[in-house]
Amino acid sequence: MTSPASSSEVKYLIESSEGNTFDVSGAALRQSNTFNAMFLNIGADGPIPFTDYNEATLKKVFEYCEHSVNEENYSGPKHQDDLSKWDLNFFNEMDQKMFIDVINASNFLDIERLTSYCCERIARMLRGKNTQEMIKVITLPTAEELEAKQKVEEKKAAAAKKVAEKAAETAEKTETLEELPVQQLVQTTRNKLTRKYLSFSNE
Amino acid sequence: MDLPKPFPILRLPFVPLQEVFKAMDPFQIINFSMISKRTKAVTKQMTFYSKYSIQLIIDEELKVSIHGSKNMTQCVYIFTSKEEKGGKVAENSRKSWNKLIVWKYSNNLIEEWKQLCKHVLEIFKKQTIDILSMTLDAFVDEKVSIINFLKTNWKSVTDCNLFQSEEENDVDEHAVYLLENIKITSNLLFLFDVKNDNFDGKIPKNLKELYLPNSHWIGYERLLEIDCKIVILEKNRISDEQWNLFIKKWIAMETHLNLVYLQIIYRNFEEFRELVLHDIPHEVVDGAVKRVLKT
Repeated sequence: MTSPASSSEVKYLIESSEGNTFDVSGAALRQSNTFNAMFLNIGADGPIPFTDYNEATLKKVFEYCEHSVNEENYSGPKHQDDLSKWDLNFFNEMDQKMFIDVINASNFLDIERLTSYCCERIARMLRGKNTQEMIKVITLPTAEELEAKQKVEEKKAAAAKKVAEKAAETAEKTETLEELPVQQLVQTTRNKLTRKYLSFSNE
Repeated sequence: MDLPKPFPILRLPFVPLQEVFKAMDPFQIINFSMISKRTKAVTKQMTFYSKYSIQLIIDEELKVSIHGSKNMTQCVYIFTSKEEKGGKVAENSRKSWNKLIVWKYSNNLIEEWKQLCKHVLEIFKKQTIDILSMTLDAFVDEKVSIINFLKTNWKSVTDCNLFQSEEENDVDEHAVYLLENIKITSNLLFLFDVKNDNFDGKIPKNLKELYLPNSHWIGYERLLEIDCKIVILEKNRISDEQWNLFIKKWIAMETHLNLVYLQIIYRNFEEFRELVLHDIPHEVVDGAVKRVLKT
């Protein structure tokens, strides 16, 4: 689905890790800074491959985006007590695995509001706890898990590169835009994606 | 989702993990950093700590206070030798301000306080203590050791407030030792009573503010050594002629080029005009004397 226009009526096709595609409104997608940086002005030639995330996760993330389309602009984290009933239901419906997947996808898509709400939820879990009590509510990774994590992050970096290349490819096809700004845009996006996947491998 | 199972927090990518840390209060951050070497290393990687300022307080109790910016929680650790107070937590909340206090019991107050100070300043990557408040007649036997500890571990202190709890105690020696060994860079408040008129504590240069309410030991020679933007002296041993000379030199920019505000207490304002300002052009504004520069 291609459209360089910014109308909220525009739908984009999203491709998940299963290879399935589904459409998301432009208004919802624009809450993703990653999308804005890569596709907003130049449009997408074919489905946008967010293939590092499964369909259920992406649908959950864009469900949140669709819901908050009409909310006022994001202005920093909101206290958990201020969350609406819909927000609370949205979080309560998720199991832990889905919650982590949503955080990861939201982080990749750079959806500030959703990332912030999820993270505050985790911080809340640790509130008022001393070190011993914290140990009970978090799990710390073993050496094997750390190694696996590194591999996953390398894979994610490769996926991010693929998405950036897709954006670059689309940009090249877009004749209406000048060449130089597009290249800069793609480079900026690549840098941003690379930064996002810095791991703790030096510890 | 109430997150019933232990949450694998360190599996989060850096950006969300940092968002989690931003939503934590300083107690949470410090407690988290103490879980393991790895959590300490992760905690140290966060990049938003510059908004926190650290205050160390050596009073009847030893305290470490971590202040955030507006709307952020202030957290205070108080070390106590009273076992019944250990573990007590107090919260004081107002509209945009929240203060949490935790009492930590210890039978080795100084050492545990030192350890926490080092840990906090390491986590928050501070080479400077933002505020040091020291009661000079508390923990007297440990005072030199505390000053040495501060000197060894931090480059400087931004604001330093020196107190004493009992007026009759002579704390000059420790004050001199502190001024000799700690670099103070912005504000210095002498809220203790200097006993010796020949007090030879080193007054730091280039301060923003020097507040000396008990400044009876300040004579003309010491006045000439002071190099600060704002100086407040409530008593002094400077004669009328010396004040007259000093103010003329200051106006002529022959001395105290950094000085922009001088506040002194004189026995009588009219007498001051008559005896000190008699040959100095000035104007009276709101009952106080202000320096007026004319080109």
